Amino acid sequence: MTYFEVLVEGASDVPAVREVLVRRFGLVEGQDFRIHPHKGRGSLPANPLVRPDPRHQGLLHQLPAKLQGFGRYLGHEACVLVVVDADNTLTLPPETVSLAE
Amino acid sequence: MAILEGIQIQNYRALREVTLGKTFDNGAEPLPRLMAVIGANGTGKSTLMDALGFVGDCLQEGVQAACDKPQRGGFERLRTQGVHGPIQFEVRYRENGESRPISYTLHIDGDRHGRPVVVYERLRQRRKGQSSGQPHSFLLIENGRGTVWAGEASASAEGTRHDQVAMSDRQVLGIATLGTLADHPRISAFREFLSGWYLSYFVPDLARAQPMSGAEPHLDRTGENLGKYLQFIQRSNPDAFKAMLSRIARKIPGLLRIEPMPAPDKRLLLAFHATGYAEPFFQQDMSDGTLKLLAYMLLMEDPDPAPLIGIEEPENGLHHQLLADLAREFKDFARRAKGPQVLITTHAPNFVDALTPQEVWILEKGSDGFSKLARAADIPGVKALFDEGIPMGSLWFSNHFGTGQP
Repeated sequence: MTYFEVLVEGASDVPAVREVLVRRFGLVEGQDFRIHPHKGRGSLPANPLVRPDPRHQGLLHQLPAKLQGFGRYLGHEACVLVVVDADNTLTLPPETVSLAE
Repeated sequence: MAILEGIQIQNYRALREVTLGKTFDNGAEPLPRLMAVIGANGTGKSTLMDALGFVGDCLQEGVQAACDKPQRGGFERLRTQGVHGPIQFEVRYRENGESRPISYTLHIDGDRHGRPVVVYERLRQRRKGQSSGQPHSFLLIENGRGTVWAGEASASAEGTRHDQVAMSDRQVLGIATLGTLADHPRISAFREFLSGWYLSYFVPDLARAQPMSGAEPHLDRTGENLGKYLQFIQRSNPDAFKAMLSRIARKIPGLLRIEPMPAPDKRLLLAFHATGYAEPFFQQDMSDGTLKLLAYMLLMEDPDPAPLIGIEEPENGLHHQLLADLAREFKDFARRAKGPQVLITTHAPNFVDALTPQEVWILEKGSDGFSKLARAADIPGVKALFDEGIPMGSLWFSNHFGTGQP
C-alpha cells in the first residue's frame, strides 16, 4: 500500500482533505497517510537548495527542504501529495510543478 | 556541576512507566542540558514536573507529607489507578563530567493502614575502572532494614567497612539521614543534588505585591519574593547588580533602563524607565509579560543556581516573537560552567523553534490512558527534516511528530 505524506496550506484544509482520503479512497489516517498543515501558502524560496529562512513557515517556502528531507528517509512506496488552493492558479509559479515531479 | 542523566517514573498518576534519558538498563543517550516536554493538555506534562517535585519533597519532608500536599491528594490518589505495586523512581546522575554515574532507586508503597512508607531504596555505582557490567550497591534498604558501605567502596569491594541500617521512621528516606554524615560523601552529594531541584511556576500578581524588606538568595517558585531576591543581589554585589539591570532592560522591549531605588522604609523598589514617559513606572505597574520576562532574566542571573530547574509553560503572557529568544537565553544559561540543567514544559511552537531534536520530548496519552514519552530525535524523519533546515516548532505545528508509520 502506498503511504502518503500530505502537505496542505493550513489547518482549515485538513478536514476536507481527510474526508476525501478516508471516504473516497478508504485510507486510514496514521497508517496510510498523515496530513501536515502549514502557516499559509508562502512562496517558493529564490534558491531551493539553501536552507529555508526559519521565520517563514509557509508551505511553499518549506517545500524544497521538506522534499529533500522526505527523500532521505521515506521508502520508494511513499508518495508526497502537495495540496494548494486553486483560488488563483495563475500566481502558482511553474517551478512548483517541476519540483513536485 | 551535577548532571541528571536520566529518570524513570513508574505508577505516578498517568505516568505508568515513562523514562526520560538514560538509566543503567536502557542504553539511551543521557539528557541534554536543556530539554522541553511538549504535548496536548492533559497528557501529563504537569504530572511529570510534579513527579520531580515529589522526589524532592519526599527527601525534605518525608513520604507522607509529600503525598498529602494539596495538589497530590494522598498516596492512594497518587498511585496509578488499577495498579497495586509501589510508586517507583530511578534517578541516574553524575556529580560532574568525570565522575562515575550513580543510580538511585526509590519505591514507595502503602502499609496495611494505607499510609505511604519507603519500601525500597538503593544507590548503585560501577567500581572504579569498570566501564560495563552490573553496578554495585553501596546503599540497600528493604522494608526499613539494610546495609550501607562507607566512603567510596561498594558491595563487591572486600574488607571495607559496612554498617547495618535500621530505619525507625519509615516515612523518611535513608539518604535523608545518611546523607548528613561525613562518612558517606557520595550519599551527601546525591542528597544535595536532589534537594536542590527547583521548580518555577511564576505568578505575576504575587511579584506585583508590595515588596517586603529583607534579602533572600534565590527566587522562589511563584516569584513572590522578587523584591527580597533583588535586595540580596544588590547587597552582595552592587556593581554587578547595576550591570545586570542594564543587561535585562536591553532584553525587555520598550524599556530604556531599570534603576534600583531605596524606599525610606528600607525596601528596594525598581524604577522602570519606559520609552515615551518622563516618570518611571514601578513593579506594581508593569504588565504580566514584562514581570515574567524580568523574573526569568533574574533567575538566569543567579550566581549559584539550582542543579536542576523546571519551568512550566514560560510562554504564558509573553509575545510569541519573544519566545525563541527566551529559549536561546535558557539554552545559554544551561550551558554556562555553573549553569543548571533546565527542563521546560511548553505549548508554544515558537519556543520549540530554538531547540534541536535531542532537546524535545513529546508526551502523549495512549489508548490505555497512560502517558507515553518519546524523544523527537527518535521519531522517524524528524532529524532528516530538521537537518534540512525546518525548525522544530514548525515540524511540531505541521504534525511531523505524529505517530504515523512513514
